[in-house]
Amino acid sequence: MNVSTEVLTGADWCRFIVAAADAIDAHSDELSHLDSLTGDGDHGANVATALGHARSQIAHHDDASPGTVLAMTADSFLDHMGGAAGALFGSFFAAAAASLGDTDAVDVRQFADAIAIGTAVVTKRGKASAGDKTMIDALIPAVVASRRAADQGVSVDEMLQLTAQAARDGATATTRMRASVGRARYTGDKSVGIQDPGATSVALIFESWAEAARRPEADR
Amino acid sequence: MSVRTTRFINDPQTIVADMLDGYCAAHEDIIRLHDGLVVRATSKRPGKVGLVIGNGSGHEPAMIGWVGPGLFDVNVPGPVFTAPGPSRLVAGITAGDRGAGVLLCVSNHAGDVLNAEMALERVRQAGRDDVEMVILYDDIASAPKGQEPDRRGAAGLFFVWKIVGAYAEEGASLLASKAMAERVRDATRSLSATLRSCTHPVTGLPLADIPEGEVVIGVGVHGESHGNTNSVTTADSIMDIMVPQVVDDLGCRSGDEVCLLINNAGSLTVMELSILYRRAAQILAERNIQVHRAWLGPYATTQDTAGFTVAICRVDAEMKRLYDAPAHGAGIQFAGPASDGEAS
Repeated sequence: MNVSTEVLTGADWCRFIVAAADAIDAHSDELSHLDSLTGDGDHGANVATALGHARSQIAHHDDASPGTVLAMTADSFLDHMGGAAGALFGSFFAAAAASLGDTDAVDVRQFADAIAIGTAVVTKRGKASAGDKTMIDALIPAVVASRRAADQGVSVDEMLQLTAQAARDGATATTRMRASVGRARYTGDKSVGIQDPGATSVALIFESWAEAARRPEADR
Repeated sequence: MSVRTTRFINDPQTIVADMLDGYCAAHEDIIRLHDGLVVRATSKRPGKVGLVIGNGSGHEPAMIGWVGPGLFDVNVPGPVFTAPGPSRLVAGITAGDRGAGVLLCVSNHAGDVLNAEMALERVRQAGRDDVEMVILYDDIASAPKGQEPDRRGAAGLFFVWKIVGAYAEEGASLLASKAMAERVRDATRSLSATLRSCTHPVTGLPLADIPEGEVVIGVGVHGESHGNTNSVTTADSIMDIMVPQVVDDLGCRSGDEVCLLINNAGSLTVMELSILYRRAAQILAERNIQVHRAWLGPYATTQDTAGFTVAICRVDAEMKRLYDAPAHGAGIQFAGPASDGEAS
């Protein structure tokens, strides 16, 4: 049986965070390799540390609300990752958590609003725009896709598939961009041809959610 | 990826914690480890402005070696090459508070600035108005002249720490300390060169790929390059390229006095540093720029990188006095002005 076609519960969000942590673990070396080409080569290890911490926290709170799960995830990024990426991923999850309040069931519209608010905070804090070759280049397409899905009234499952595809396309598109903010900007033109590791992490996270939503209950 | 073991470590996951345990234990007369923060072992008088800095680990003795009398009150070490998060910085601010406010010093890198901004928001939301942040930069390769605030922090911040550390120690107010940090920053420029990069101590991946026999001028403290690759010829010829750029960017003129730093990024020898210093001093002398004090050695390293930073700080009488004041950290000591009995 798939995730409820109407809403995402706290238990669903727990599974999503675990799925995201597993996905980043599986791709940690690939992410660190991408980072090493334009940065210091520890992005995969750092995101894996943060989500791994979130995964272990959530294990003790499987009755938490969706907002609480995302707030715990935010704290894992802020307190156990650090760096620019930790601050930005942490701000994303903190803002998304705040937008969900204490609701115990997130519908398609609330999901779209939460990631839109999270993305707005990342954009403001990171002082980056679309096209700067950052995680924002995966987040913005995801926001657009989820809003469109909400407008069309599709199921949560379908929205997650569309959002994941948009984030992946956005991450892929960073390959041809030139870094203009963050540490990678110092590499200038050398960054062209290398997919942004932050955007790649965003795509992997949304893809893990789309996949988790379709995974049979028994495997969860 | 198979990586040859090149370091004496235990587990990459505990590399920072293991280092902090050992470093603080070895220097227990100067520092102690308090909830993951490096703090002074000696008690400070109340009413001193607290100087606090967070930074990624892996650059030792920066900044764990810079906590002590005449220097920082608290260092917040982050993961390797990664700035600590806002909660850690807030803990550092709290630990550094002696009732006269806290100056959070930030080397200009995206992660350091973002997390410091978030920490500052948190303490302000908690009702504190006696915490200030100052963003510091010196590396001329990272942004053109006229866009100094876009430049990254590098080894030239040595001068900011030393001078502001002495200033706060002698009782300067929070706002005066911040103004002094900005004054030293604006009088400081640096440029770095690397022959051979290092591997990341956690991932084992190389930080930068520099061809054999080449030197890259303009490398950042994480191996991120923004510079020109030159064939290595001689130390003098490298300095002939670098020193005039630093001097001209700062706008040093005949008659100016400066402090000069040759920072060892990791694996250079005293022999190499001395040979590099020799030419730098010659170039300054040719321009009638007088060196008040020089410092050679490993201040901010990037593991075992074979490279260096040349940094110049133009000093006035007050800055000279503060630079010469005593300071005692685990990784840096200033004895104070040499007395007649000691001078040869």
